[in-house]
This record gives sequence, structure tokens and C-alpha cells, in this order.
Amino acid sequence: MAEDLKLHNSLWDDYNQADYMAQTKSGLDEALVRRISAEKEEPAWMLVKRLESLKIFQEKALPAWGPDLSRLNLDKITYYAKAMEGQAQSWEDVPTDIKNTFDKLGIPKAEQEVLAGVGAQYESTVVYHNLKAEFKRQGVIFEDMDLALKKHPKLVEPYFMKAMPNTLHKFAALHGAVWSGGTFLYIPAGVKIKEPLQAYFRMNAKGMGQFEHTLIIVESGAQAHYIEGCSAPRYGVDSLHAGGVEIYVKDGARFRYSSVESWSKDAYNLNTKRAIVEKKAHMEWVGGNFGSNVTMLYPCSILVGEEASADHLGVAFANEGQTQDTGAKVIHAAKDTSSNIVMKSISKGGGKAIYRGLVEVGPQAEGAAVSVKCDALILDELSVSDTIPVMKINNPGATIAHEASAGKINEEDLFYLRSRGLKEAEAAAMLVNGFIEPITKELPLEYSVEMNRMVELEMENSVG
Amino acid sequence: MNNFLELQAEEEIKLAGSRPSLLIERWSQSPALAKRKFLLEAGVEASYLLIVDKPVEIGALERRWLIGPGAKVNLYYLFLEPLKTEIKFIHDIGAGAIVNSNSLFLGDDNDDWHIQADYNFQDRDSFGRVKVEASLREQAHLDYAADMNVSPAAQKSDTRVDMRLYLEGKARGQVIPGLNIAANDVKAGHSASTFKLAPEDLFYLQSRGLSPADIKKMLSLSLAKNFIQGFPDEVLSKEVLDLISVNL
Amino acid sequence: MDLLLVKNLSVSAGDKEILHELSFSVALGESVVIMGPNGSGKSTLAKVLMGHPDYQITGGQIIFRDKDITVAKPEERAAAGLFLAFQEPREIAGLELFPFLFDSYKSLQVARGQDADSVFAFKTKLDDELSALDIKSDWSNRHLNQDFSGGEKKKAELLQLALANPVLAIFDEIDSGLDVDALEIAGKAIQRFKNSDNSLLAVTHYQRVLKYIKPDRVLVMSKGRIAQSGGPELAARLEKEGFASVI
Repeated sequence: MAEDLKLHNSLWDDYNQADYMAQTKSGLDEALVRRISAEKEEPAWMLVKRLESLKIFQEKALPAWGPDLSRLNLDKITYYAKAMEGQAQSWEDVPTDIKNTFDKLGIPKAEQEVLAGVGAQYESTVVYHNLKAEFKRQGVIFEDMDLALKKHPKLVEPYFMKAMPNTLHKFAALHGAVWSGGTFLYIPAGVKIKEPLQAYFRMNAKGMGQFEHTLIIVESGAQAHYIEGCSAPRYGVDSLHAGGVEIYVKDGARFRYSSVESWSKDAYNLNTKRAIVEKKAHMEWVGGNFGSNVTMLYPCSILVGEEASADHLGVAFANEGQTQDTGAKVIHAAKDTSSNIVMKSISKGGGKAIYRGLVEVGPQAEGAAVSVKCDALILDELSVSDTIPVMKINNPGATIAHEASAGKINEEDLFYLRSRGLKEAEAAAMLVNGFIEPITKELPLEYSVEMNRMVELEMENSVG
Repeated sequence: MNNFLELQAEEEIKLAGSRPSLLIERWSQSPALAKRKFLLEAGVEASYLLIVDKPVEIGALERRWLIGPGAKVNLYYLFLEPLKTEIKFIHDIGAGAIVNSNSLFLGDDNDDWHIQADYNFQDRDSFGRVKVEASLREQAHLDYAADMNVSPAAQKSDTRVDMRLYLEGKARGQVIPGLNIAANDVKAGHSASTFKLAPEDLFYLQSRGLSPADIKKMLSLSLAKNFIQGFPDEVLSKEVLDLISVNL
Repeated sequence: MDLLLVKNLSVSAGDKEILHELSFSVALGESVVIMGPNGSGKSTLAKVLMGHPDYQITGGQIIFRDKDITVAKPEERAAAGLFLAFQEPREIAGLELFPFLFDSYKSLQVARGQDADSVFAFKTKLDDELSALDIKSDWSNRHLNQDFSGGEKKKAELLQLALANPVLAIFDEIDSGLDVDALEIAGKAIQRFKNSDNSLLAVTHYQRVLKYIKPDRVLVMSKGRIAQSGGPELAARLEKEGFASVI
């Protein structure tokens, strides 16, 4: 296998990490981007795209809205290159509190190792082997993004960063310049995959990198469910995560993208996720966001075909010191399209949960039907919840219904559960899990159980 | 009515006393003022009606309300003519105060409005109900952002924003019913929806002898009645209803 | 032996005093019924005995099994052997019945120093109780009290009563909202529960439930105080002559 390149970003605030910066180069510049592309042996068009993105990144300003990103010191980004082998940590090096969290969540040891970035690859498991054989038979491609670019350039090029253009915003541009790794998933026409495809199945799953690019193409009439992430704190992941997910759902196809993510307390999670949905196709986003310092995430569905539809289901939990600025964007650009958004947010200990939504019904979106329901649970006096739904209605035949509420746990409900023997913290966690149940019930059992446990841990405030 | 005031050029109006006041601002009858500030002392009750029924060249439009503890204010904003400027309504709401606000926009041709309405609940036990309804035809356009800002001290407050749009032709609307909540023991909600008569309802009404034009008029009139509901002066209420009918 | 001893209990909600220096007791094995007109404070008493957060105790004590529980938390009272069947059982969205019942059952076992049952042992016990209450077994998939009829909600309370197996069961208007058939099922469930090793305290407005509960004593409340107390004959007199005759 070609020697892989791991890009390591450090965001410097007040301290210097000079001692382990071998081969360092300050700042992100053209020379570095060229080096990345060369080491990966990429086709020429990709280098062109990277350089174009770099230029945009350097010129664009930080978003003028949203959470405070001023502590992100982009000028002082330092990169260094290291060979894969030299980096393997051992299980002993993983901090105890992280190990404890894994245990509390009941995560199997093998999976814990993968999450901790020390894991062996899954190639050796039987499950993975069987899946591989089946995929080969059906023509499904489930590959590392880097590898897919080399093996299937004709499949990748027409789609790469088209749904998520590098002009979208500063972090999309940054992503375009330095993206590395990620998942490529191609489902041929008519193929329906029943089992959810999990991110850690693919080769070289060494914990999630910061600038991963996921490209998913679902051809006509195909069907699949992809799950990314896991509800355990990501150890060894650096502070800025500017990944990108692009999904193309063609005529009559159905696709669900689920992601349950929990980030370490200093992380800036600024991913971009976009789907283009064609005629009679259906896209579903199911997500849970926990942890991080700041998360800004607004999965976007662009309904370009007649009768295209999208469902957005999400949970965001903002604990002390955290800002979950999440939401959904749906653009209705064709006749008889429909969308359904259900968002639940929870804030505790001074955390800030913000729902930012955009529903745009274009003039051509005759008969559009939109339903939005956002509810916020503010667990104590310190916490905050904002709901900023923007509805742009440019077609008179649209039917829009948006409803939102904010409040605290109902005292009578709490008393009722406690009178049945449950301790206050348990009862509160039960009520919060009941609050998010419309979303957790859409996840496969292991993930919904993990999400419920994450809630319980967040309620106890003992997440590592 | 008790204290009936046709507002003229006063920029700052202080309301005190135990008798409820009724303030009217009607641009076809009195000079349109860009900025006005209203101070309501504790316990005061007032109703306010703004009728924008004449197109006016004006730099900006701003109405600011400082509502004292326990005060109660009913606000009626009726827009029949467009305004090119940015329109701002700011309400600072004290402990135990009550704000009921109804806005109605009737737009056709190229009528255009841009509104930013802030409702700042600053203290305990306050109450707010904001209703925004619009009937927009032809190429009319409404851009309305309502922000309910509930500060940490505003525990036990009860607030709602409900927006409804009725669109026809090439009319467009952008609505942002925002909730910024920093207190937890509160009731806060909002809704935004488009409404139109279902085909079965239309058929039902037609089968009872109403023409589509009649039905449209009926709907608009019910919008109007909804708007002026609770207005303390009957004579004026009727005038407003007539004014709206003429504009339909 | 006094299972429950209430001494000079005064209770307020905000500025308003609702219960004034209330004193009474319930012995082990007794069935006590509390009656009174609306606004007499009888429901408040039931809630206060279980530790409802809306009320403040401004004077007096509540002693249960020789322990002062005046300021104890609701879950501690449940662990100690108290159970309150709510007049308006809470509808909790998204909370599946089976996991909730199992969790609360286990919590009580653990708090009482018993070994927690396995989920299989629990399921067997649950199935027995479900059939005794004439509840279909697919019930466990529903969400707690959501979309339950009045009768179903009361049955759910009685189910939880059977599983919690308290020493003192407090019923807050168990017969409200029940038709004749549902009342019979509820009444029989109460009879199944009651034995010489436990007690019940039923707050009721109507006489109907007395067909199933044979009270040893009847207390009549009025305006936050106990106005009268007597044996079962007091209930009969109330039926014939109304509250005014007694208060």
C-alpha cells in the first residue's frame, strides 16, 4: 500500500508545541497543497481544484453570523507529515477517562481500539469479508476516498465538490484545498442494500481525520443506509474538523445518512453535508450531535426533481461550555416536493443549543409541502436555546407548517417518575430520552441504545 | 373610549394614570413620523393602532415601546400601502407586563415590506402574544423577522409568535419567527404557516352558492376580523373593517 | 403499630396555606378513607405525603415506619414503601411502558436491598399482573399513558401498584373517570392488593369505590383540616345527608 500521509493540524492559542513538530511548516500555502497532491499521486484535475480552493479560502472571510469562531487561529495552522507506521499508539497510551467512557457505553473492545485510533483494520473480520464479496457481486463500491480517486476517477470527477462547491463558505474552501481520506460509496442502479453500511467497515479506518471527504452516489432505484460516526468521544482527533459529505440521490432512489457524533471538548466541528435529490427520490438525514466546543452543522437537501422528498431528524445536546449550532436546510426547486424536519435540542449547564433552519420554496416549486417541528429542552437556568427558522416562500401554492417550542422538564412528570422509585437524575434522563425518542427510534438498535446512554452520561455530566 | 389620542408629531409619549389610553396613528390623516417612542409606566393599560394607508417617502420607520411592570398593551399594526424603508418595532417588556400584538398586511401589485420586530422579555411573569397575518397577491412581498428574546431574568414568562401567510399569483414571503430563550422555566412557542382553502372546502362553499370571488372576500374579511379582535373602540373597529374591505 | 403518623402538618402553596395543623394516623393493616368537598385539601394531602415539589411544609411532621420522611425525596418515599396512584396519571411521550416498568421495579428492589430480578423473571411477574387486570400483553409497547383512555390510565396505575408492592398505598380519587366495569376491575385489583400486612389510604369524592374498599375509619376534611372522623357508618351518613351535615 502506498505510504499514507497524515496531515496534522494544530491550532495554536497560547502555547507552543515546538518539541514534537518535526518537518513543520507554518501556514497553509500553495507549496504545501502541491506537496499533498503529489504525495497522494492524484490526477491533475484534483490539484487544480485544490489550488482553486486554496485561493478562495485565502480570500473569503469567516462567516459573519453564528457562534464565535474568533479563537480559531487559522493563520497559525501548522502541518507536518508523518508516515502511518510511525504513528501507531498503544492502548496503554489512551487516557483512563476515555477508556472509562467507552466501558460505560458498553462498546466492544475491538471497536474501542478503532475509535482510539490504535485499532487494527477490520479486514480480518468475517463480517467485513462477507460484505466485500457481496459488494463485488453487485457492483457496489465502498472504498477509501483517496483510493477511489485513483481507482475510479471517471466516477469521482463528475461529482466531486459539485453538491458542495468550494465557493460555499470559507471552510468548504479549506476543505477543498486540504481534504484527505473519507468514504466513497457507489450503489449501482436498482441495487437495494438492507444492512446499514458502517463507516468503520471500510479499510484503513484509523479514526476520523479532520478533512475527510465522503462522496456517495445512489443510482436510479437504488437503496442504502450509511452510518458515520459513533457516540463515543473521539480521541486523538484534532481541534478543527472541516469535513464534507456529498450525496447524490438519483431518480426513484432512497438513501439514509445517519450520524451520531460526539466530540472532545476543544473541537470545532464545522462539517458541510449536502444532498441533491432527483425525481421521486427520497433522502433522509438522521443525526445526533454531542460534545465539541462549537458545532456548526446544517445538513442540506436540494430537491431538484419532481416529487423529491427529504426528512431531517436531529438531536443536539449542548452541555457546559458547548455550542451546538445545528439545523437543516431544504431547498424546494421542483414541483410537488416535500420535506419534513424534526429537531430536538437539549441544553444544560450553560450550554447553548441553536437551531438554524432554512426552508426555501422556489417559484417553480408548485405544490411544495413542508413540515418543521423543533423543540428545545432547557434543563436549567444557565442554559440557552435559540430557534432561528428562516422561511422563504416564493410559490403561493406551497403548504408550510412550522411549529417550535422551548421550555424545561415538566415538574409533574418528574415527580411522577420519582414517586415510582426512580432517582431524580434517572427520572430526568428518562424524560430527556423520551423527548428525543422520535429520532432515536429511526436508528439501528445499537446506535439508539448508545445515543440513550450518551444522554444519560451527559445528564450525569461525566463524559470524558 | 377613555383617553383617545390622534397622534401628531410627538416623538416621545409617556403614558401614566389609571385610565386606559387609546392611541391612533393614521397616515392618511396625520403626518407620518419616522421614529416614536412610547413609555408605559407601571400598571398602565393602552391600545395602539397604526394604519399605514398612504404611501409615504420616509427614511426609516421605528416604533419603540418601553412597557413598565404590570402594564398591558394591545398593539395593532395595519399595512395597506408599501414602505420602501426598513421597519423596526422594538418592545422592552417589564415584569408581569402583557403584550398583545396583531399585524396585518394586505399586499398587491408590487407592495413590499421589510420588518424586524423585537420583543424583549426582560423580567418575570411577562406575557406576549404576537400574531402576524398577511394576504399577498400579484407581486407583493413581505419580509418579516420577529424575535422573541427571553432573558435569564424572565422566568415564568409565557410567549408565542404565530405567523400566517396567504399567497397568490407571484407573491412571495420570507418569515423568520425567532425564539432566543435564556430562561428555562418558561413557555415559549412559535408557528409559521401558509394557509389556503382546501379544494373540498372550496367545493363545499361553492355548492352553497358562493362564487370564488365571494369566497375570497369572505376569507379576507375573516382575516380582518381576526386582526381587529379585542380593539376597545367599536366605532373605530368598524371603520377599520370597512377600510380593509375597500382595499380587498 | 402506627404505619403512618401525621403530626400537626401545615402545608402552603406559595402564599396560600392549604393544610392547617393536620394530625391523623394509619395503622398497619388499616384501610382509611378521606372524604370531603372540593377544595378541602384532600388531594393536596395525598400529594404532600408523596413529596410533591409544588408544596412547602411550614410546620409539623410526617413519620412513616418510625422514620421522619417530612423532607424525604419522592424516590426515597417509594423505596420506603409508599405508593401514590395519581388522579391524573402523567402522559409521558416517548417513554415505552416495558422499559419504564422494569427500571422502576429494579430501582425499588435495589433501594430495598433486594437482589434485582432478571428481565425474564420480571416479565413473568408482569404478565401475571397484566392478565389479572385484563390488559392485553401488547400494551408494553405503548408509550406511558399516551393516548390511554381514562380507564386505561387507572389500570396502568394499578399495574404499577402491584409491581411496586408498597406497604402504604395512597389512592387519589381512583374512581374518577371510570365506568361501572372499569371500576369493578379497579376495585378488585385493590382488594387483591390489600392484606393484613399493608395499609391503604384512599382519597375519594364519591362513595362508589367504597363498595370495594371496606374502610376501618373515615376522615372528613374541610378547608384544610380534619373536620370529623369515625367508622364506616360515617360514610353511610355522608351518603344520605351530604357534607354539610358533618362539617
